[in-house]
Amino acid sequence: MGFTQERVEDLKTAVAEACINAMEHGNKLDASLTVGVILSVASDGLEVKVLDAGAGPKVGVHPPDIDRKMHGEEASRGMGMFLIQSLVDKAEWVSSPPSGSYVRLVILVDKQ
Amino acid sequence: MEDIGTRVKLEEVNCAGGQISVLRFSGDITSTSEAAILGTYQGIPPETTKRILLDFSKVDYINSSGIALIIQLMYAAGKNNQSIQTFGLTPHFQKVFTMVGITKYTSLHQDEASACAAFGD
Repeated sequence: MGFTQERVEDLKTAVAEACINAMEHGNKLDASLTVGVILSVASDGLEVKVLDAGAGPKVGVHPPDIDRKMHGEEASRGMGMFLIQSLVDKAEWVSSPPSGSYVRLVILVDKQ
Repeated sequence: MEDIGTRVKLEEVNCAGGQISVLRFSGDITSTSEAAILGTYQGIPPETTKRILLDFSKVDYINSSGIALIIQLMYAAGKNNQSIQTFGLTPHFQKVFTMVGITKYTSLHQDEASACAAFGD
């Protein structure tokens, strides 16, 4: 599709984080539940939806407070949603009960 | 993404006029890497080792849980008054480390020689 290698790396990391969140938080590590990944190609970019059986995140995206993490004042984890949002051009988390929820990522061809 | 596991090799090298410990990571760094990373770090005596290099040059993939383990390592090193220099991250993971703010606590160097030299700064 004409993406630079760096954009491909951005997308790989973002999709991997979304899948991990779907398995851990959405499906709560229940191996009988599935995570869906739907890719849709458009003229200006690629859309990826990652679907799980959960209700969607209860909190919004917030940048990590590295000072608090480095001083043991907050959990060192909890950066996945921030990385997803930072690495793609659009990211939205959609709750669609009763079937579950999904995160929709868009990466545009002309962005460097 | 296939998790090929984490390997960590601990080496002692001469650098910047003294002996330092190098943690050489390879493979993937994820939530399953805790024993390999923190367990190996705990083998470094904090009383005698104050300089530690982190070598990421053979790391294929790091996710946010893996970054969290590196933060835990740096937190422990800070409590032990140890300084850390980092090298060998790909440009993509240099960007990711910078995004989360780790560069406030360690410099990301291109290679071992420049990371070593930074201990003398």
